[in-house]
Amino acid sequence: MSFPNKNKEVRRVKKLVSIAIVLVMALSFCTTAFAVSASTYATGADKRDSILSISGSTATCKSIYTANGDDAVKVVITQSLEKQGLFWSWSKVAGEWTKTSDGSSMVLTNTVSNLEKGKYRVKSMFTVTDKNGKEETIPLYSTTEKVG
Amino acid sequence: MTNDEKIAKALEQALYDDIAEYEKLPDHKFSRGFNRKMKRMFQEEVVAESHLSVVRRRRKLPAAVAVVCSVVLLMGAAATTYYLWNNFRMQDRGLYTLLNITDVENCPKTLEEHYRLTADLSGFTENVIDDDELSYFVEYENKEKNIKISFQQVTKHGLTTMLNTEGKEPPVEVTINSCYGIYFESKYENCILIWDSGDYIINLSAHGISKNDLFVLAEFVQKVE
Repeated sequence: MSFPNKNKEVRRVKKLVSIAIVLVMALSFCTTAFAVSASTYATGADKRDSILSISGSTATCKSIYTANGDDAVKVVITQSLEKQGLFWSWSKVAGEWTKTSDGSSMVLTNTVSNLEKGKYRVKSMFTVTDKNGKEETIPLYSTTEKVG
Repeated sequence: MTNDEKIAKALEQALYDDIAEYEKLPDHKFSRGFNRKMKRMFQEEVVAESHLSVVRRRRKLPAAVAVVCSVVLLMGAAATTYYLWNNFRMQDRGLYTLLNITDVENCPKTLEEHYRLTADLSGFTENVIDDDELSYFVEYENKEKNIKISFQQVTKHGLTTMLNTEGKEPPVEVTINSCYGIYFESKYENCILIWDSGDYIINLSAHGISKNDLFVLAEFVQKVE
């Protein structure tokens, strides 16, 4: 006896299970990817800050590098302003701005006006080069602030 | 013969009589229509049963997916240790610690009051790195004694700080000038104090002085006109 309805239902269940497995694998990769980025923490700084301040529709972006070590010979800050889109995705809306030092402390500040309603954050990339020429880049995101 | 034996014999005889009656029945053939109806009835019952089991499985599937996803996310979260001390929320990520301030609701978005390190720092060169409405950052250096001091005052809004705690003990809770704060020593053996003055975050760090001397220096951080 053949049961065409049963076969159709079983195929649908198998499809859902496949989607679930892909989702779980994707989540696992995200956890692993995070672990990889954490192991490349750079030298040269005691502290780094990423700050976003919103006043009306104007954003002030600030990245602070506090040096207190001897390892770094060059530091580059690359800063951009990002806006949150659909499904918690982020896209750059202003920047990138850069500033370079010889390893000493520095601050990069930029202002963006006439922003649309939405959630924003500052992305500060600190690229540090040590005495051996090894270069490492670490991103640091400010907390999210709202316009409107 | 006992009564039980008599009853057993009578029942046995009744059974044989029933069988003899059955064998006397004429041979009967069911019509094709009747057979088709019976077959359809049985088929529908089997499909309904299998459909019901598939529906039950489909109902369990979202719950199973949610459990598996939760386990995976929890495993990721377990890899990060969280600390909460007053307004300081810290995430220990092994090679560094992330610091966020949780309660910023009634805090000013600009520096409306100014804090400065008022200790006698003669013999130190002063270098103002930043001085605007969001932050004040100054460094003092005495090359002869190999001492370097950093002082910062920043607003709380939109702030994320990355602390270099690689290979060191995680930050510990302290009280500075009656304010909540944290203390840690960085990879470079520098002493760092960060505290919440109420409206702002104050950072004081030093290279070349002891932890006790740093705490004494912190008492010279005062609000100025």
